Amino acid sequence: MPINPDSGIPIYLQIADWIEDGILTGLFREDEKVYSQYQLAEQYSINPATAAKGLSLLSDRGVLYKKRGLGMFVSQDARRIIFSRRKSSVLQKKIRDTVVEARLLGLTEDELVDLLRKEMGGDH
Amino acid sequence: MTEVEFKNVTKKYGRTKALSGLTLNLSGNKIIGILGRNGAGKSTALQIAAGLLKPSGGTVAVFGENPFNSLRISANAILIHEGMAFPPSLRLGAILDEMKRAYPRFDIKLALSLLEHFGIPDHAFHVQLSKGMKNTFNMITGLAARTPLLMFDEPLNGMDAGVRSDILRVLLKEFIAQPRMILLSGHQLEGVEDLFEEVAIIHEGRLLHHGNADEFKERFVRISGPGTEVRRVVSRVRALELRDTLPGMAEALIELPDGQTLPESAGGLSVSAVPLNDAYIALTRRKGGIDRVYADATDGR
Repeated sequence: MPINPDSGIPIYLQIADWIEDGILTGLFREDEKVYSQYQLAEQYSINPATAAKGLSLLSDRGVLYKKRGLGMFVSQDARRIIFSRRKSSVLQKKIRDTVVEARLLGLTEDELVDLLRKEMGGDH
Repeated sequence: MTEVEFKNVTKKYGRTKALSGLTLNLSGNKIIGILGRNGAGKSTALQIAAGLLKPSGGTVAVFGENPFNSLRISANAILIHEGMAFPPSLRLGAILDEMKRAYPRFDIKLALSLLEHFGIPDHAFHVQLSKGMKNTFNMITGLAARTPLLMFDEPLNGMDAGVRSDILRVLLKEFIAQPRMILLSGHQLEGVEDLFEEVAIIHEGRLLHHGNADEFKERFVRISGPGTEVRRVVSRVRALELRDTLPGMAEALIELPDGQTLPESAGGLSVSAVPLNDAYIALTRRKGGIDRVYADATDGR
């Protein structure tokens, strides 16, 4: 259950992230139907309009496409679109947070890079 | 079509003004939160919309018609509130039978299943129920009535947390199965705020804000951090609250200008979302707040 109303992240963004995660992990495949706004609303006890906002955000990004009367489907390009957006925005933000934290702890650049290398398993 | 329309509506009880020029248009099959402090005029507005009260001035239309003394509106709209008076000699099951006569689409099977789920015996009398059970029963009758306009005034008072979340799930399922306009008023909104598509905030008998609930939630954020940084931001936007926390640190609840967002860690400030509840309470707070009142009353002793 990934939706957390207290997290400070708008719920429609959490819905969108969760569906994107599902596409990356293979829960939803290309040209397969994703949950409808009503299924999402019931699952997470939220207003259907909020769920619809999450779905339409993904359709704006090109991750989903709409078949009239049938619902929303995963586009063929979905994984590529998600990867490229997350690389540029999500990872960038995480790196920025990590750097802020490292400065607070007084780590040098080399020490931080060492930690990253270890985490990536390239420690040699 | 506008389902519910208030035009400059006033309502006086003796010398007390409950509504002082309320203008509000609600339309579409939506779940709408009617928010406000105690005494703001929410209950009066809902009772006028249900046709139970006659306004002192202004005009009200529900489904295009004056709801007062209208048989059509009384069959198509229902208001559930704590003060509902059912005949004291009827058992709950008999009350449901009577409701079926008054509301053509009343779903008695749904009502009985819900009563059973919530452990309310249908042979009980309404007066025997605890406050929470009364409100649960009332809410069940409203959901089962299946009227095109469904209004709940403070429906969740006294319910325990489990019942609350179950009955709100029923509300959402009913809304999805049979879309209609559902108005829900209250001042304690935990667990309810994610159900709203729109919110209307009533303050001192007038409309203070009406709009999309998600947008409303995103407009207000709390910032905290070094006092100088917080005050720098506050000088540029509308601040609903500003207080010093620890020495040198401050916290503020701010309203972002249209379409603007603050980066998450701007200038060493931490930015967090504000629950709908806190935002509307801050919006309707009197100047200075409780800290000021206490300090003035006690001369800072």
